[in-house]
Amino acid sequence: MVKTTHRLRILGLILLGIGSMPNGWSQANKGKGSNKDTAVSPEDVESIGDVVIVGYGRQNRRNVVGSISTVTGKEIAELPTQSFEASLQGKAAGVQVTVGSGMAGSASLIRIRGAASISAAGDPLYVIDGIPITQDYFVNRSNGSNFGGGFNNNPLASINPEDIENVEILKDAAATSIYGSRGANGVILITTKRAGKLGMKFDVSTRFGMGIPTKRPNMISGKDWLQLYEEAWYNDGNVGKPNLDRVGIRLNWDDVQTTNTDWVDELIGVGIKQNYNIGMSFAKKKYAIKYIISQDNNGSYIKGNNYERLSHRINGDIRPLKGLTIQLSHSLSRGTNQRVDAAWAGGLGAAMSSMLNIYPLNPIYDSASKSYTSPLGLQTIRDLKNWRSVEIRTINNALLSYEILPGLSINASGSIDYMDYAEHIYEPKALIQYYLQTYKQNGNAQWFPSWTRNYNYFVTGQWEKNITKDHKTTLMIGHEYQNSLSHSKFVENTDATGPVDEVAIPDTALVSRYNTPYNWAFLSFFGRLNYTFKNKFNVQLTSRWDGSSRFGKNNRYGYFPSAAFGYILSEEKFIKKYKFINFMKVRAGIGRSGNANFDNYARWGTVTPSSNLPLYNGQQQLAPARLENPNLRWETTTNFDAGLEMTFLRGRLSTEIIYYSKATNDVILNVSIPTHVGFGSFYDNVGSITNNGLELTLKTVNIRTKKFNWTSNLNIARNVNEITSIGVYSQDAVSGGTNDTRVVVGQPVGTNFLVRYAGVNKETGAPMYYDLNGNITDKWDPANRVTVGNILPDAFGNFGNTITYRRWELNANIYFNIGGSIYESSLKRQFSLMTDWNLDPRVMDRWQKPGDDTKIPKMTLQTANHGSTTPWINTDLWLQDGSYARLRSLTLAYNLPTAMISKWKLSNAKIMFVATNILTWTKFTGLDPEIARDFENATDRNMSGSITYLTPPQEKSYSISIYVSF
Amino acid sequence: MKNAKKHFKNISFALVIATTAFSCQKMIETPPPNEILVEDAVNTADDLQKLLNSSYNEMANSFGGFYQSLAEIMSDNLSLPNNNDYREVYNHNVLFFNSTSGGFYSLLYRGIFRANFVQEHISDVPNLDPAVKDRIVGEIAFIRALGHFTAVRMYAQPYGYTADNSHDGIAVMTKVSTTPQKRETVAVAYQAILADLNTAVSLLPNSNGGYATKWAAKALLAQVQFQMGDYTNAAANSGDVINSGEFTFSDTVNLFTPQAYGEHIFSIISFGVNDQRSGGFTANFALGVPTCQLDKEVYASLQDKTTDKRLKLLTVVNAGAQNEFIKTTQFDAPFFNVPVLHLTLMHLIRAESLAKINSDLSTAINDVNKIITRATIGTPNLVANNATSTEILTAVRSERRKELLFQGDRIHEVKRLGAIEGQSLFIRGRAWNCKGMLMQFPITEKTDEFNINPTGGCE
Repeated sequence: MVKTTHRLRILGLILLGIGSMPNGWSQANKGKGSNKDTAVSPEDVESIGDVVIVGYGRQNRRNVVGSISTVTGKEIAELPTQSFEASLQGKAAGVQVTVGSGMAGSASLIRIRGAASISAAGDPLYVIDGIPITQDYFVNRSNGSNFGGGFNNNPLASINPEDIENVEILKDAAATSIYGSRGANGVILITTKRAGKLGMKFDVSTRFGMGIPTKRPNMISGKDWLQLYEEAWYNDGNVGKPNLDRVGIRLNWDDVQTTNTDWVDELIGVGIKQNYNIGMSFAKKKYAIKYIISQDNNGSYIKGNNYERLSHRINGDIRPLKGLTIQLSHSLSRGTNQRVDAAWAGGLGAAMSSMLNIYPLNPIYDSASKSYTSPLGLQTIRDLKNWRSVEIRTINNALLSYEILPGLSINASGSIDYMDYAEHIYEPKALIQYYLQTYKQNGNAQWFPSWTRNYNYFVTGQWEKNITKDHKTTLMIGHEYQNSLSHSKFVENTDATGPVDEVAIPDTALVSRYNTPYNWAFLSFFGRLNYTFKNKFNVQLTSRWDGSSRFGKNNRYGYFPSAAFGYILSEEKFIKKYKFINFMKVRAGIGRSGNANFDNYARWGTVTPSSNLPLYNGQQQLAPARLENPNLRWETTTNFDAGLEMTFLRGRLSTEIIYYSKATNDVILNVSIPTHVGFGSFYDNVGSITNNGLELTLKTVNIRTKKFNWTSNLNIARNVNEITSIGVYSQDAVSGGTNDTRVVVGQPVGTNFLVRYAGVNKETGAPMYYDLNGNITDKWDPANRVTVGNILPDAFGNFGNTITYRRWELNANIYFNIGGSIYESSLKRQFSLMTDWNLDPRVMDRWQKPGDDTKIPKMTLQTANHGSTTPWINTDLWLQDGSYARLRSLTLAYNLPTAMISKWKLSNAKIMFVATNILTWTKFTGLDPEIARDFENATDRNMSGSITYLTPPQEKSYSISIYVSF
Repeated sequence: MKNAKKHFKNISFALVIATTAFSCQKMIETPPPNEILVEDAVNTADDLQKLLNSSYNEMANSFGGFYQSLAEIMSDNLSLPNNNDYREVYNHNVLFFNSTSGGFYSLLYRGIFRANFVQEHISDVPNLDPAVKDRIVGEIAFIRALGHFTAVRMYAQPYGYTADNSHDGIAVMTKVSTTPQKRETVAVAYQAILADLNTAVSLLPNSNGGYATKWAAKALLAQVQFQMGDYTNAAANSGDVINSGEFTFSDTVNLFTPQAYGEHIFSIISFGVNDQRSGGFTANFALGVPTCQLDKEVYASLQDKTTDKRLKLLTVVNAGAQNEFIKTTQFDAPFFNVPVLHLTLMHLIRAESLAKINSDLSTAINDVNKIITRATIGTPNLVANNATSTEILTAVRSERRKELLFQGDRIHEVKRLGAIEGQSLFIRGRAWNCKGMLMQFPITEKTDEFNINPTGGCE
């Protein structure tokens, strides 16, 4: 009791910010619970290093036959990333993590062993404490809120990294087949922290940091822009003083000569980051409680953009009877994203495009025409627009485990994940008046609430039987059901004095409507049989049957089996004789898994009711809405995986080499079927994709002395992705939205499909292109598009080093991406064709006079001078190598001496300095080579990686953390 | 006892699993809310009619000014439009990414698809009155023919471009299908159109409350045959429509006004400002600085501007200024019914067809004089009673251009004269049969069995 009070007092003092301790406390809290005093939660029965969480259970790492990487919660929580999944970058071979951008709360793009999907979402399945969570990146597009303002929702941002005990990344069929129709793109299993040792313990930490962009967007100055405009004006054969009217600018040529507003400066600043965590563990023999409360404030370098997460978690374990364990988990978090426009939607994107430096900071009002002649300043829009998205999320789970007889047990689990996400936009009358150029009494408010309840339950029975001493078997069978229902609403008040949800609403100006709700369900049965011979030979068979509300009536259930073995060769004499080999295991597995993450209602044949359609000829209509697709089904991936794990020289060197081959069939394409068929698009199981790859992980202990240790780890993966069929459809049947990526047989998913640029005609300065036969032409014709570039890297990985010296620990991780091109999609509007956009500094190298040898054509105001009938043309001029390596993280930690901290009654105290993305090595001439722009839909997300369109650069950050345990 | 307990536990465990499993079948049925399952939606004749209305709706969206704008811009009637997609049409180099071209194409085929969808579900309605069934089948055939005829004229080289019409036409959709179809020849497309129109003529009633009738089908048939150079049948069928007595020749030259609705054989119906289907005309021809302005040279070449009522509908805005343009006031009403087939068209077809086959010239002369008389202020300059077929042709073609100005006829007229009569005609310097003188398919049409039109314009 004394201990508890004491700890609570320390906590109180820390919270009050008082650093010193009153003397009277020094005699309390003598020793801590020894390691043997463990609480009831199963995590502690075996230490985490030996046990791997697998689907619906856990296995000893030695006996695992699948490909599973483990990342600890500590590794994730230490980095001040926008969202926990960004911290997975470089942690596991074959797991490609591309952080979205430097914006607060930005979502990362994760692909495990390559993209195997086109129109079905290609993200891994995230499972938190037994429930596949709600994972909608496009909620703020489907609810009608202006497509999210150049920013995708991140359904993972509200998850508190501090809650995470560890993350298992399941990569191959042996590991993922148990997740059946949803496992094909890998599974990320997240286990949250539970109370450990008996007694009470507090872990308190705080972090303070700052973030700036990795590279500042530089646009040309107002003076340069005017000079290029003048050049274009004369190149086109115009005479006299240039007239800005030609590109729709209403300012007078003479009036803008000296203006040079640096809009980027107005928008970029230093993001401030603050993080506070308090964790409490309290464990008795029969019950245990873990409580975590955290606040994280993550400001981005874009002024006014900030993500705040406030969360708590209570995980309780009860063991009322022998053999019976009840685990209850609850988390509640609120993520508030203070939003700003970005990319194509405005803000920093506008500063890189339509907001010319010749515009003054504040717009000019012309009393004659009663209108503004220049745009409203970006800083004013940012300051006036009140925009935030708020996600309130609670994930809850109850798990009951009962050992009926020795070796025979059942588990019953029920979970609910409830997410309430709402976007609030309020534009006051000052802003609306500018847009409308007329007086307005009040402002404009929009509210886009959406809410999803997602529940599941599963029941498993497990029977362990040791047939003889050498032959052990474990059989698990189970049943699971999951159901998710989402609603969303569009509410707008065009005569509002404040945000819709906060101010009384005059009915007259209010529009409120519900969007189509989404409902889906999965009903599953599964089983797993493990057999171990002499603790050296393991065989595993798994099966799962999945029924889904999404599957057509001819394909209601899918069957997903797998078989795998592992053989610990180092147990055999013929290996044991090599003393330098400490451990050696070969394993191989083959199996099937699926992807069922596609449109909820594509299988149904429906009509739109008359009430939602206009009249024709004064009569009601009924229109076909969807054509029934009775054959629609999951994508099937057959996955072969073989690995070799070895440890040499008493742990000095350990390595894992894996080869895998994935063949995905029945790939779902949301095909823009030929228009003559008569309805827009259609989901069809037609494609085939293969992914073949190698993964290498190497860990070395370079120096191991009492005081000084140096370890290195390297992981590197190469994946070859190829589309082998898209049925009868053409390359253009599936497109990555506005990004010119296509689905082409023989190429990876989302390949660049562009007209090739042949340089500049030295004499005329006009651009030249190649036709299909490689002949030079001065006409841009999209019929001459071919596959170019290399959308996927040849290899990627991470090289990490950890050095410990006495109480110091230094850790550096270099993430690298070799090969792979980047398409700068916005450059087509930022180069030689002069419009009302600002230009990229690289345009200064344009052709100016006959004989000039440059790749950039002469300045012009006329599309036709670029050989085109349409102004914005895609060519491979904007495509370049995007290889890079970056110092992803650099941490330096100092553990305070025990002698010092014991005076303060602390068991542990650590100060840590963390820097992220501080160095980048690349030949890429654009902003940042790590790119995952805002996407339009799941297809775009699969196909348009490495495309940038005014995308904000990544963030580099510096922070200091303090960790205290007592 | 212990054993029994064990058994009991095992059995109850198995039972729990089994019950959950079998009661759950319903649990994975989650049909889309706010939509009606097809099997629940189509049960009565009234449901079929509502479905058919959705098909008419797409035709209304195609012909409420959209089709007419595109066809006029492609012809030599208009000046360079201010919209980039339309500019590509004007320059006879429509890219396969042109969303306006793709959008129009999609409307036509969505209308056809919806008609086919009705056809597929006729059998779902029990005890359907045979007369109602005939009418519905006839309307389906009419809509399909109108859609295919418009598509083949806009997206393929014209009938007669090759001697046997074996050149690329369009996809012919006569049933609901999710599989892409091949690009049929123009010959096959016209056969399908004729077949549908013959069905429609035989099944449709004389009047049909604003929907397609026997006479609408016959009028369209006459127009199709006229385009094919089948003047004998075109003359006979247009004559049947004129002589049916169902339509009255209007006194007013503006057929887009209620006074002329008696002429409408098939029209897109507008019920009011909030239910108007003439918006394409309003947006492209009437409002502000319109996209569709009359070409200044064409305007200058027109004679009798003071005595021709049709030319008096033209107005010169900002006369003499740099931003001068010429627009029509024909479509200035906030809403109106849009005639797709009208009596004037029948007279023009009959007159020209009879002159071509040199038969019953007096009827032809009457037809053209009827039009001249209506159009003239003061004394009309009529075609003489003893005029030769060549004189009649000259007169009727001159009247045709003025009568059907802004109705999308000109481009097909030029192509017909080029393809059927072998005239060497040009649109703004580009030959009637150059490879860009048509709309381009959206790129998604392209499959192994469907070649899109050549790219690169008319160069």
